[in-house]
Amino acid sequence: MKEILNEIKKLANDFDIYSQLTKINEVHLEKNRVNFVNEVVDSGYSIRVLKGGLGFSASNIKSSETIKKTILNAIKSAEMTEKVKFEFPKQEKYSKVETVDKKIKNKGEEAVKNYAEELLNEIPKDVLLSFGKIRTYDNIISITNSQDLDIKREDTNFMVELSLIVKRNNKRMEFWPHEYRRRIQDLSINEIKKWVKIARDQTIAKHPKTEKTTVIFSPSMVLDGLGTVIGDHVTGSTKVNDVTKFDVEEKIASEKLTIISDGLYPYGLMSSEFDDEGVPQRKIPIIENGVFKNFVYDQFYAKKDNTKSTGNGLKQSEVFYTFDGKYGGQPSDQISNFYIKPGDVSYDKMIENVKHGILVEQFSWLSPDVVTGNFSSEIRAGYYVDNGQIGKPINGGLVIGNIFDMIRKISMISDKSLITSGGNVLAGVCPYIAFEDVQVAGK
Amino acid sequence: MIQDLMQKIVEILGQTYYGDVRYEFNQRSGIGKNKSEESISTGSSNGLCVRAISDNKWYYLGFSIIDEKKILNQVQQLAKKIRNKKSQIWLQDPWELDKVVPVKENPDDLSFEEKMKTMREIFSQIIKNKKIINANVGIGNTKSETIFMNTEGSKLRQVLPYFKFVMAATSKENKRLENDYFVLAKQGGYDLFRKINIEEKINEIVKNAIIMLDAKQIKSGKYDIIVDPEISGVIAHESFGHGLEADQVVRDRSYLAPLKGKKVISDLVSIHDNGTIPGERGTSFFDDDGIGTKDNTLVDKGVLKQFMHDRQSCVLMNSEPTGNARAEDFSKKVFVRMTNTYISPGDWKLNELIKETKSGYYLIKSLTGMEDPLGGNMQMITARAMKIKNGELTGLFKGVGISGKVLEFLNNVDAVTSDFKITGSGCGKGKEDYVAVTTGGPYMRVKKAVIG
Repeated sequence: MKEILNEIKKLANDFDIYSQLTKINEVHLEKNRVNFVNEVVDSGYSIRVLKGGLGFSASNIKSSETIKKTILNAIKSAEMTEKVKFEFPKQEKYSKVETVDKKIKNKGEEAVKNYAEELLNEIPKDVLLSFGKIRTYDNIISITNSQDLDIKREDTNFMVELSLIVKRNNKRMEFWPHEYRRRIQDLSINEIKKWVKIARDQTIAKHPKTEKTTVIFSPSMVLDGLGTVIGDHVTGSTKVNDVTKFDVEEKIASEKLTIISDGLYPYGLMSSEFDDEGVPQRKIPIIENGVFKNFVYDQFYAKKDNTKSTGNGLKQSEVFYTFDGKYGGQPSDQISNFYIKPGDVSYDKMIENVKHGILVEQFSWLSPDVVTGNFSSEIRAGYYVDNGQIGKPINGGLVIGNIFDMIRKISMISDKSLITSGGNVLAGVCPYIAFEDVQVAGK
Repeated sequence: MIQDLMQKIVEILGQTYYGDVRYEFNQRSGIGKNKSEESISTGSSNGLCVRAISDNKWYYLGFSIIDEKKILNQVQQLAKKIRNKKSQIWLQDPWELDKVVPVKENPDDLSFEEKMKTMREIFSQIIKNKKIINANVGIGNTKSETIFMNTEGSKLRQVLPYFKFVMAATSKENKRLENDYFVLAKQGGYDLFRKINIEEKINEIVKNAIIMLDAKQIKSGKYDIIVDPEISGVIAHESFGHGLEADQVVRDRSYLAPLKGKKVISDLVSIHDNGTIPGERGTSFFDDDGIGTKDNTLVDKGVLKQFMHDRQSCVLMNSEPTGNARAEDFSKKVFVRMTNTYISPGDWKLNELIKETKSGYYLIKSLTGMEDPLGGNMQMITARAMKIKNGELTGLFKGVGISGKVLEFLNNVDAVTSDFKITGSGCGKGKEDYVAVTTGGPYMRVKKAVIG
């Protein structure tokens, strides 16, 4: 960072430097034995320069030549893009947020090894662990800018992906969870017991029938369904570009629904003291009792919309690490942890209240169209709910709907919101939600 | 020279049963524009992946900081720890290769000004229509160099040029939003962009975004359908191909495992995975196991012919490597992955197919697809649909999901066209490990498909 700072001061007046050091430890299991051990260290940086436009360049190569080239590219990119109203943020006071698991920090190798052993001990003999991936991330992130902001934060992440296969009467069925958490203890072995039960139940699953009925989404399906669409329509950029469906103070959902972009939730996957521009993260009410309240902003779109950043200038994701991962992308206005306020019925009571419906634990991939809100997704693991009780398992068939319509037809929200991760949206704190009058296409 | 360090690493790995080292260097640039934002983004990255196998367990080390002393020390420690324990892995004679895919017109030779001017012009044309409220236009290229050395003595290098152009239009009427997009993703240079009939493509996406504002919902059920080449390709790749990745067979996780040599789908359908097609995104000279890529016939006239392999799965299944071992980057595991996967063309013409269909739906453009290697179920979303009535296309409908078992679906194919197209995209194994691929095929008519 020091070398980059010294060099950039010679070449630009307005800038920021984001740098990230990530240590990854990983173990893979295949058919109940370890078959892969991985240890990675990656360190990269990105540079933004304001010079008329806002320029960007990134690298993980630390040679003096590449550092200079990266800075010059950022300057050139600023000069070539349209002039913008922008300023880099000043340092502020930041709230302390819990983001580090001491069991992972500097102990990733031991952590994945221990979890793998514990997992292998817990898998019942009649269940095949076809494959398992266990991974830890140990991150240090620093941001400095031309406004004398100079800050650093640390966090950890933990990932488990499993294929649990159960055979019964020549039928082999799978449950395939893929979950991220900040802490290992938030993906306890109890969770695995629940996954094994779902896999077992799938061996007697039937195809659902075609009907309009009550459909309950599990917390991670709530995140992928609501988080994907609502998360997109609440950003400052969608407001500025006039592609949001929402207006402030408009009633857009059932009164039961309250959503917060919560950047401070303890051990939330997107939680941090400051966003990826250095602005404090905070809790931003998005929907209160069904009424839309606020858009979320980064520095860029806050200036465009004559307001202040809400601390939502976040890079693509913190844990979906890729080659040119977080340091390789620019911060943009994104919802932080997608927190849904718990409702007033317990999960058990929620089930009791359903005369006939379907509980979906997992879709094969719930990926609604962010613009229209439409989706049509195959049930990978679910259950009928009949006369207040969980009934026969179901598998296959489609649930068809539109997220904007469904949030108006919420009948129940469970009284516990759980840290969860999705396939499209990284970070959520979500409950079970029951939607009424949803189309199921089966037999 | 990175090769000198790699040679030293390979010498240390000689203490193990098999080892290799792969160096990656990428340089990318991208330009984007929408109503509120213009961006020019550049980047470079490198990474070194060191692998060794002992007692059938892989050990990887990944580095982006190329510190020779530290790396050699860590590799030495690893080699000492894992030693030389026999493993079931394909071993072969060494080979050498140094290939650079030539680019007719290097995008980096054009100034940012020139490219941004072009993006601004396209953007302006898209938003000319009052119902179009926003457009996204972007162009990007990546030069990707891979150097590979292993304990067999192989020394390989390839430089691949990736190019992408995308434009999207968003329409709005009252509170209803719709969109459509065009994407070109291939290997090559700026000449690929110059060959696009931009005006025609702009008219298409603008028209589609607008007409979709009136599209209605299809009543879910079983119908005869015609799928376009994009959908055919995603079926070949997501619903069928992932089950032919042999690591899934080794894990007891493929519904296709017991079906090799058997007729599994309609004899009108043949499926290939061909990593050698010049200019396509999934193409390379060698894979991340250091094995040459080739054209693999997966299904020939409905008969399942072979699985795709890496160095390990082929030995475990008494086969040979197929050039399908791929990793997202230096930090990730090498898995069996597809390259350019497609269904072969047939004899029909699209207009004949529509004319000969009494009742059903014509499904257009694939938005998403997901694999189910154990269950063989389909999960796919299409962008839009048109009703077919007495051989004519009539009303426009919203996109639908396609559901059901893929073998049953492909068994119900009763006509395949000679019209054929392949499209560049990306693929994950599950929800991570993204690699560049191409999927494609002909238009196909499928009887009694479940859509909704």
